[in-house]
Amino acid sequence: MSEPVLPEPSISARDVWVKFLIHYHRAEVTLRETFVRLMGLLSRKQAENGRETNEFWALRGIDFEARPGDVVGVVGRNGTGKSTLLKTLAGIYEADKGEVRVVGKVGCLLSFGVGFNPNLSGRENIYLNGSILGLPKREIDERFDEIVAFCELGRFIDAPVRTYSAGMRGRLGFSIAIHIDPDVLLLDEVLSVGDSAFRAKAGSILDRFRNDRKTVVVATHSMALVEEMCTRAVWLDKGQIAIAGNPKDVVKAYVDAQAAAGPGARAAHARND
Amino acid sequence: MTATVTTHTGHASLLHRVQQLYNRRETIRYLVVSNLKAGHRNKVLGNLWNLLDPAMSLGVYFLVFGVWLGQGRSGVGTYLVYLFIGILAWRFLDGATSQAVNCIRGNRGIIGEISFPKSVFPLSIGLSRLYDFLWGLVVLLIVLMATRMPLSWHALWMVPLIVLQLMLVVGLAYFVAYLGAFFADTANITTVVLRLGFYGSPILYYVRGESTRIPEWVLPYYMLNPMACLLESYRAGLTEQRMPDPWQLAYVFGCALGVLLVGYGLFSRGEGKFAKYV
Repeated sequence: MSEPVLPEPSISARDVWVKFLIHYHRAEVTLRETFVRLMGLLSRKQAENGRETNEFWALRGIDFEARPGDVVGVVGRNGTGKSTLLKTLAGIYEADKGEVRVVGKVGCLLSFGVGFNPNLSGRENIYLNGSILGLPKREIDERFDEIVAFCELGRFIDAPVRTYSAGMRGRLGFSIAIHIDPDVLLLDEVLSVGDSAFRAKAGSILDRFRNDRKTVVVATHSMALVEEMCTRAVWLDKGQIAIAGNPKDVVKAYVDAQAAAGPGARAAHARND
Repeated sequence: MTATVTTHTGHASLLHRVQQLYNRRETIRYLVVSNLKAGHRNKVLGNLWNLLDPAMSLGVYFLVFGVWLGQGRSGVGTYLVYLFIGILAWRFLDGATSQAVNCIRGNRGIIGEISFPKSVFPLSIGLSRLYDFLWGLVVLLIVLMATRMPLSWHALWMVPLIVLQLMLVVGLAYFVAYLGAFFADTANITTVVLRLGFYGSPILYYVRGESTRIPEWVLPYYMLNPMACLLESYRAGLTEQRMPDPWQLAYVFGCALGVLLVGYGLFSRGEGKFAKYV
């Protein structure tokens, strides 16, 4: 490439494969069941066959890079591996093959604040979550007021999180994720949390991250968001990258493919826009 | 700003994982505090339950085993103290183990959302129950002094003995936490095994002296239970003013270290899989 001095990629994934065992998701695994299965394996040597059919490769050879200043939109239908990709980049899932390298502090918000302990207050959860995210107490103290102000929880901050609405939990989670001052921010469909006023505020945060030369990867169904906020886009299809590049081109290709696939899919996306 | 590079592939070494755990000591402290707080938060009597719980089971067992089944014949006060030590130490092990079984499933929310060493959970559970245990010992010491029971310097053997029990308890916590993450019925089995351990350890009855019902020839096998050795050692230092049996100490140390290494090693193997399969 002839581009002038590209910064070091802050995220680089090389040939990443991630698999799930369908068996685990089918039902609760019990010791008895495992014992019966083991006995079965001992008696006939079909171990490998059985295993193959139980596997599901959610990501198949992903090559992905993002540099400081990138806001990468990840689009794709449900179940094509968007969340798995983000969780693998975040280090929550180990890659079964390939390598993921992330430079800097990772902040991620992958679901609506399910990481909270419902019996503790919002205040206690900020400290607990902040510390799990790797922030020393002193730094949480410094940012505490900002976090509370941003999520607009006011005096509810001392109420147990189980009494919060989904929107309140989502706002608190988002507020913590951006205030730990991450170098890499991973967001999974979370900008749809909260009312339009909060969404606007969250959108301006993305701009600030881009201007501060941070890296953002956001998985979303909102084509408008990809076209307006992202500097690059990736279309994931069945665990592989179908197209990557300019947001407008990727969105167009994706929307056209959905339209060709059937009017149902098209209607669904029109609603999400 | 310091740039941290994280590469996630394959398995980190044991030493590296232990170091990671040490770096997380602040997180562990938060988990211990929230664990202790959450325990009795919604109850009218609150933290008083930390004392009431063991006191009430002490009362029940004293009535059944001390009075009714005659273990207290050789001295009611002595038996009460004997029972108290046993119950406190057992609650430490029992409480931590039965809580650790569910620690991965119970925290699946945060495990699926943030990448961090999951080994903070069993350790913080062990430390929470250690905290309860230490408070129980404070009460025990007050009782010993109030009743003018003789105390000697041998009581200081408690310190290394508590460290040994912590190793054993945390090792067990890692072990059951790993199994409990992947096998839903670990909790049921753990309950039964713990009950067996409770009656198979010298908590409610004497193993030596005239009141014992354990035949002489069974005793060497009986003492293979590390909790039996540990309890005998606690009592040697605290109420019998003598040094614990060195062979028993060595045996408990070996068991505690073995359980800790096996439990932690197993748990480390699951570390990268919990988020996917729990």
